[in-house]
Amino acid sequence: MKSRFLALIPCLAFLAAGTLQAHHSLTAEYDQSKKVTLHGTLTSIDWRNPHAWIYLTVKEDNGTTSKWQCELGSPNAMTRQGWTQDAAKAGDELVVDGLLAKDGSKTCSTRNVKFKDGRVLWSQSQRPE
Amino acid sequence: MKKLVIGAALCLAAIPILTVAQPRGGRGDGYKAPEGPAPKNPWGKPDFNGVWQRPYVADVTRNFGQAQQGSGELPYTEWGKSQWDNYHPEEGDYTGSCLPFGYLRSVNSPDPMQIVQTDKVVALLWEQNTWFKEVPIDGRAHGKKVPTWFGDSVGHWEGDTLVIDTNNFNGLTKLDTVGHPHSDQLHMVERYTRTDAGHISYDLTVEDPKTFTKPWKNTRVFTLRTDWEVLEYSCEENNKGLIEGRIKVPKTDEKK
Repeated sequence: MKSRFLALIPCLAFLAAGTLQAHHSLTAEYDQSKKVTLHGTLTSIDWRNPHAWIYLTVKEDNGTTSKWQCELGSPNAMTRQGWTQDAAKAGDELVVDGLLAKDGSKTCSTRNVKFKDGRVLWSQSQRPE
Repeated sequence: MKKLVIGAALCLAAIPILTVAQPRGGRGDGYKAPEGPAPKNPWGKPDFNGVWQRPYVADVTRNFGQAQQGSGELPYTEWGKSQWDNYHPEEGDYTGSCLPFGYLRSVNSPDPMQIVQTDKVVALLWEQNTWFKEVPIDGRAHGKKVPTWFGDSVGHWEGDTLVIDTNNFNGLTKLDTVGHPHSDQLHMVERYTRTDAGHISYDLTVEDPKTFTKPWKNTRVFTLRTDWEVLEYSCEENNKGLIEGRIKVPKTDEKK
């Protein structure tokens, strides 16, 4: 399985929560102690408020695939920072760092989205390059 | 939850380094705020019209860069401390459910706020969930209305400072994202002073005798963004966390 679960340092989790999605409570929905890194292919982008979402197909180590959904910030805030939904397209290979949903579904709150070459997408702390 | 709070305390010094920190001239995005004296309206009062960038205040106790001076530790009553110690957003998250954020939490919100001003009224238009508040500044007193999420506001001038006085809250909201509590006895006094062409000095005093033993303050700096507009923001449109059951709707029949 290409998703890797890591013990998250509480401080970093809090910082990430406060930075990226703090207009409502992150802890209501996501487990800040469970970090996930997904290596997948972008299926689609849903660029609507209050949060944009990306949908991924993730290859598991056993050769099967699974569908994941990951929450981004608000399209308004990202638009104001210069991002658009055209920053990536279906079929692009991405690496997503996120926090897992508490309900056990294949859902994450996104911390970072990167192309495989390291370029960062839709991060609220960075403007597009 | 309390472990999270402890974690937050441990991270106190680090958070301003991240995006919540906001330099006086903007978010470090190359924008330069207008310079010069504060403009005035034809009726001789400072002109607050415009789209304003405010510090995102997730925690009213804390400082965020130069743009927010927090209260420090809040002076809780026994009841207030109990409310804070027993806040569990995973059992019910009213903002995640798209219920009204309430007044202070809207003032705290990360997206811009537009001010529209006449000689009789000031309107605060928040991008966050496309909410608004009208504040009459025609000399009227508070009305006796049904308590609300955003409270009842009236404004007046003290020299060139606009003072907004708000009470009559329904007690169903939190003061900030981390969940600091208040009751229906909340009383907010805000002072808006346009210090120059590009900035507002914002001074907030909060009192709530049920929740706090004494009043406390925040002071903030708002920056005029001539390059921004307020965009539509529908909380309900694509709130997948709520739609798919990960966010719980809190009870709203238990007034605090």
